[in-house]
Amino acid sequence: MTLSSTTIRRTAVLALTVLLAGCGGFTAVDIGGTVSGLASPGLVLRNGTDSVSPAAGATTFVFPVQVEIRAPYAVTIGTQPARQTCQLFNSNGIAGATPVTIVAVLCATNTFNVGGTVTGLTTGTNLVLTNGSDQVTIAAGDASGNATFVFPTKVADATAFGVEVLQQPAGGQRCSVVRPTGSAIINNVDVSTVKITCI
Amino acid sequence: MKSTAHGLGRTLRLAAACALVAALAGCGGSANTTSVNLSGNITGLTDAGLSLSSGVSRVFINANSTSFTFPSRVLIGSAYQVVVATLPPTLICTIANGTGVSTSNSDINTVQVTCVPRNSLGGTITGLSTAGLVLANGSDTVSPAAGAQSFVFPGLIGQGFSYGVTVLAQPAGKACAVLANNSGIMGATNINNVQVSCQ
Repeated sequence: MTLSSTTIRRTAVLALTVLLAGCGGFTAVDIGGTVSGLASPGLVLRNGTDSVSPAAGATTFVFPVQVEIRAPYAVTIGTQPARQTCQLFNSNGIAGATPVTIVAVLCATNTFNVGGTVTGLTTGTNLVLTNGSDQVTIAAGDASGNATFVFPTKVADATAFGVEVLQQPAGGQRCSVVRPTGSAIINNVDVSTVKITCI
Repeated sequence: MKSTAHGLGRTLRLAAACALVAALAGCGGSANTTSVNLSGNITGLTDAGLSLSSGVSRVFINANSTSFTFPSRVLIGSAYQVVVATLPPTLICTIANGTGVSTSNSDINTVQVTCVPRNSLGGTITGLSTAGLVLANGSDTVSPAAGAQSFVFPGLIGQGFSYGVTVLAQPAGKACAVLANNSGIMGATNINNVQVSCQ
């Protein structure tokens, strides 16, 4: 009885094949994952030349073309959905022997700046404005008493903002928001029209 | 011959064992070398109901907890973003150091969650005889009905957070304004002294 080296090699190949089959039995696997917060159409995800377009409300996705085991995949965002921005998590990797389901897509409504102008702030300092709980401090006006401001926190599209004076400037001046510039609904664009006058 | 065959058998078993190790590594490898724990500390969590999301994972946190760890680990090289998914009914919780990219095999334990009690914001209305009034505190809005003499915003405000009430939409045929206590800082009790007058 002799075991030729060919037999040994064949046995080893067979053993490996069986073992790999034990991992899942695939030579190529699906690439996909989860989607959350997708409320509008238009999202296109890409993996190389392959693409998939999850519909509004989708919670999962799978690319139409599978990826060979041990080949890399890299999911990117080809097109953002209307009025939303999506982020990717766990977007890159090497395909293992089981389908990839860990790519996560998180989508959120776009947000926009709220800001405006101050006039007449000639001597006062440290005027504090608030939009809800978000605050901005205007240290002082320029030589003409003018200043501009932008709140630090952006506001979601299609939601309200409302700017009020939280703290009058030091030095005796009094400032107020010119109605109705201080309050409106965000409509897919930054707001820079809030007007504050000081006397 | 027998001993040689036995020796070859042992060689084959070793080869098979090596193949098994290699194949299993191909199945996904060791979690400890490709991902890290994502955790952090909590202060002020006096109520139940807080849950956090990391982008790919969710953790539900009991009242009075002072720390948390996400059940899913973060792949090295992947971004994470910790946000509040649900709040306890009586608290507002904010997150510091909540976003980043896992760049090494060190666990991430620097996420800080700070919770404070929150209270309601409201006040009185005079002269409101028609429908259509909408008041805003930042993005939070309330629509008092015709004849209403008081209002409370649906959103609660954390102690130490500012607020500022503005008129977002006027009622039919009337002009309303916030006459007094337009803005302030939320204290330990509900605010109910914002004065709205309509003419």
